Amino acid sequence: MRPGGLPINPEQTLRTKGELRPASLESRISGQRFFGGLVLAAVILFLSLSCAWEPVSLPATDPVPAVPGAADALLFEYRLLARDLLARRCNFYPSCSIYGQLAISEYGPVVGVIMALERWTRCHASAREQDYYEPAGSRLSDPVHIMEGLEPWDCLLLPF
Amino acid sequence: MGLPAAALLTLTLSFADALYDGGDYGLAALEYSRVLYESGDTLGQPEEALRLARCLHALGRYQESLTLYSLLESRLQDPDSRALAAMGAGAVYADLGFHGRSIELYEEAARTATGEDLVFRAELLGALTPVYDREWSLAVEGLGELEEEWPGSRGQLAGELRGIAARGDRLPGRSPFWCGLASAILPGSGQMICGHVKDGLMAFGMTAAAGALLYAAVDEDNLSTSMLMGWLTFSFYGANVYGGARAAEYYNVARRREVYTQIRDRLERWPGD
Repeated sequence: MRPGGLPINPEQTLRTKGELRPASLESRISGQRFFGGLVLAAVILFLSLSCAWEPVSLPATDPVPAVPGAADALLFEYRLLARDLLARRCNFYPSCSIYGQLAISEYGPVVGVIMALERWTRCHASAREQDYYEPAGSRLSDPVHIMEGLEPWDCLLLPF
Repeated sequence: MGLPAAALLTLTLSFADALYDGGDYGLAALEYSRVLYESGDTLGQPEEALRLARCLHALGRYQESLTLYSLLESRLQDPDSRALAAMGAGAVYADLGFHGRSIELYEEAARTATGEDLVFRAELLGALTPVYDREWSLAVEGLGELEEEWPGSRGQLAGELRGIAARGDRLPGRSPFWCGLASAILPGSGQMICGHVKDGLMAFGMTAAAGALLYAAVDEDNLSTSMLMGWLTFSFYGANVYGGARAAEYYNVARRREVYTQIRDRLERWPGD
């Protein structure tokens, strides 16, 4: 018996917040947090896989600009996972990884990564239902700099 | 025993014309080059030379096309053929984005041409060119002048195009700044304002997921995970704000594209209507 009158229980532990919780409760909360994190990680993984949904034949022939080493390694891993390992193809042209490389090479790593992530969140299975992308072959055109998609009409009026 | 040279030339020419009318500019350019080479007089066959220049333009060989148009414009005697060459060069410059030079050439063509139809075409092209730079009011003004100047179907065409260009001046727009700000306040809202609902939901989900993971990591007093998730949350939040601004740009471009399509459709229906 402690001086305060509470019984000393080996299953109780003192937390930094000053609460007393049974160890079983503590482990359950920890497990819930772990499970929550796992679910969120699964959501992110699902979204990343939904980026590449159409099976295609390999390899892709997109041009690859040079970017700093770390970003290049990350994009290489991503491409390895999405394109080579899962044999999938991006909805857009240029593909998300190439877009990332173009953005990083043009705007630097901080802004480039933000732009690449923004593209990644748009690259989902229903992207093809949107009417604001111009078609680029079997994919959707989404360059780093948005283009007007303007086809000059001058030749229509040339009488020869 | 083969065909006489003149008959062969005529046959080649009609073949080239058929290819040209069918839109096969690659082969048509080859055949027109053959005709001009065989005839030995490029300036003596202005129509074929103009068509060859236009084929080169269509094939993306702008430099060669401009060289040929310039040659024809400076050397041909017939004012209408010179005007046609100037208009062709203007079209190439318009394609390349040099709209100021394009307008100059159209004005020159309108001054040089003698035929009414040709003068109207050159003036119409000159009046429409500011649309490429989104100078709607300038285009409206120029087309209005044409509408008053030309009677009949020409004036009617100019009037209709003026109406379309005036619509371009009143296009509903979304400000990239305000849409970005909306996304900064509520992730995904900027995208939704522009009608990109699924993109907005996705941006909200990603930002919320990264934020929740950051919260869990901070709550666990896990420094390394907190730093990682902090970076990820910052990046997704930034991506969401940028996404709002980009959605506004896409919205504006899509509205402008509608106007461009209307202009193009109207021109395609003329003068055959």
